[in-house]
Amino acid sequence: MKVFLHYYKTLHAFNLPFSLFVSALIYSLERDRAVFFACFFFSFVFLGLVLAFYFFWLRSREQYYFYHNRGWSKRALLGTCFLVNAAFYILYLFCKPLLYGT
Amino acid sequence: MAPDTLEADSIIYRIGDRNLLKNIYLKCQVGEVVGLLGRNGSGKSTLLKIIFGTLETENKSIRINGKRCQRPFTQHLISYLPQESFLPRSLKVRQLISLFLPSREKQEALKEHARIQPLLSKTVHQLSGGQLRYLEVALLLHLDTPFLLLDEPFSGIEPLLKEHMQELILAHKETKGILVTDHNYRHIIDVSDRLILLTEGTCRPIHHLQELEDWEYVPAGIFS
Repeated sequence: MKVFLHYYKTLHAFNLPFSLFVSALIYSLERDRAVFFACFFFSFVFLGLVLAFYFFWLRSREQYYFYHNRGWSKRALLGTCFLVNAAFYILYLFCKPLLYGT
Repeated sequence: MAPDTLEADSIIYRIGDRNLLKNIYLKCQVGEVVGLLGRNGSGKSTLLKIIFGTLETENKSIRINGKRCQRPFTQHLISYLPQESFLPRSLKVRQLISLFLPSREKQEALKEHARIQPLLSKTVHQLSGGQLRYLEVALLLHLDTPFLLLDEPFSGIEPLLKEHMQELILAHKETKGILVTDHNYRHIIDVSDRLILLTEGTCRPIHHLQELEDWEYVPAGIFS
């Protein structure tokens, strides 16, 4: 699991600031917190994650053998990242009534 | 009890119209080092990736102790040293060892290794090419997988370190089956229990070094 967490951190060194940037950009146009979070999670779970995966593959594809040698395939790495981020999104959905009072 | 056995069978790989690998069969047992020789473009690295499980092909059968494994690396049965460096470059060697090796005992053993110990506080990108290659091989040898595939472990390292690399490989031979390939055939010959030549898409066992001349892998007169 330590090896997966290293991969997760590496991918999210791009995904997290990228998703924040995209959602901040949208927020500056819409001025709506709900839109900000919707954009953030869309990018965090899908767009930013796929881009981070692609850029990592482009720049450091040999490094995948670091993870393969510990039993992680590319599909398992990306799939687990997606599930972790989806779990954050579900957590947000549960917390949403507390944030907006609805 | 019979040693663990890795068998790669019926491997076929095509690139366009060219049959790079034609019905390959090879076998490796724990306790032996098998040297895989072949000219540039003969398919050695392709074969190792297919056995490891990261390269798909139209036909293959990888068996470990007779049991079929489609992707052996996901079951911690095989580890693989690729040609290019595969370690994250920003980590310190000490962190890297703790991250990569699951067994605390193996971590400590490697940290106390005479040639690794001086590197512990350096980051991976500060290591020389030879030190990096040595570290990579040492890390893979300390994993608990029964089989290890080494693709050019001697490439780009100085002669003295090549001797140390040979010693390192031989020190772990009893607990692993090792399949090693390199263009430096003399080191492969020195470290291997038996040799296989990959030529024209098939594996040919080499019983006498002179056969390497007969198959035009080395110039005539080297071994005769």
